[in-house]
Amino acid sequence: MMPLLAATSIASLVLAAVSVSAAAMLAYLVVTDGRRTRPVDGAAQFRRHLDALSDDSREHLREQIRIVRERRQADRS
Amino acid sequence: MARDLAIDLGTANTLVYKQGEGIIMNEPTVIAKNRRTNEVLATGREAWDMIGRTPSFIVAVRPLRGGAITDFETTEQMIRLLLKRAGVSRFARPKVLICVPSAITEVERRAVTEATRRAGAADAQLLEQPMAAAIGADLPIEEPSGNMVVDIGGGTTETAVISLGGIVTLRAERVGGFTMDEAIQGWVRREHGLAIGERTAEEIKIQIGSALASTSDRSAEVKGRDLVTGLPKTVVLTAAGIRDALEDVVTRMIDSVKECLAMTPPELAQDLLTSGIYLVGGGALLRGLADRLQYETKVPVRMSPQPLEAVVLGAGHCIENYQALRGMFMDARR
Repeated sequence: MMPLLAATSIASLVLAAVSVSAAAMLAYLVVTDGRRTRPVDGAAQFRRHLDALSDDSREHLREQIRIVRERRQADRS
Repeated sequence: MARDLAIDLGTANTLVYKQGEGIIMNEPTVIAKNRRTNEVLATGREAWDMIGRTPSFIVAVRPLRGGAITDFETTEQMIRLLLKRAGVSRFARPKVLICVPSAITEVERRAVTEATRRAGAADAQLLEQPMAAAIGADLPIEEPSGNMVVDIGGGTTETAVISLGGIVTLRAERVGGFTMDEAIQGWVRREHGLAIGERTAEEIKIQIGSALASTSDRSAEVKGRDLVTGLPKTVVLTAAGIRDALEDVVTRMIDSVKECLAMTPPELAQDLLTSGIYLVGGGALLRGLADRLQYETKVPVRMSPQPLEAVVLGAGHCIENYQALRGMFMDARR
């Protein structure tokens, strides 16, 4: 009975150690992956930059400009 | 989730834009403090009303002068109050984009970003005012053609030529609306022996100040303290006299624009003959300034329809497209 208990305890300890180290390894991989600098696609980024300044993307800006003008007209009158 | 903020931290006025909402604050960049306890008593319009009228233990100050931060501690207090009023708390920490003069030093840059982070921002980025102004003036800056914007603020005049979403040439001069007020104060003192406050000087500038003679020139009555007798006195000032007082300041502004034009690559310089120069900022509202600039540069000059809000609206657009436009922010380029 005693050897069986000892073997079970050792197996549990080994399993626990394996789980802890696997979790630690996973956490390490997640953290380092977040920090790793990925190669930047400069051309795509530049296109995104220009798209964000384009006529189509300025709808919201124009709406705000309209609000400012209306507010000023209201202040004047 | 916290909504991101854009702040136009100007020498004269501070404007705040909230993501998805628009401009939520537009107030003078003034803070009133108790000298003894260093406690903040008022900010914005309330503090502005106190300028020149405070008892000795209260001081109403502008923490920015000439586009530079003259008082770091007060600036930090102001940013903290602004963010608090915009709803920033321990549980709502937005990203904050602050528009600053392009001539800002490395120390000032770090001071502003640090102060903003300490005040509760999850991230603080800086953007040059002329860039934000060009976006806010709705100029087609994404195109491969030259767009020139001149931002005449309270403390600086910044001129930039922008093409393909980036600044090509930039010229900043520490001269602006407050320099005009100081020039008027000095001129009235010299010519009329009368001491006037900065608010009175600003009122004179708005009422009869101009950069070019016109048929609608008027005169204005001004009250101040006689430098000889020490008694209150009233004098009448003419538009021509005030034009004389402002001449040096206006010349410096125009020279700064000319220098920027001289630095502009020829391909872009020729575009400017058709696209023109766009004026933004409170200083640009000086009567006749646009015509005078056009006369001296031979380039068409247009006034932005929203000169006072252009910078914060441009920064607001950057906040709405934060990830795509991150490359434009000052820290991202260092």
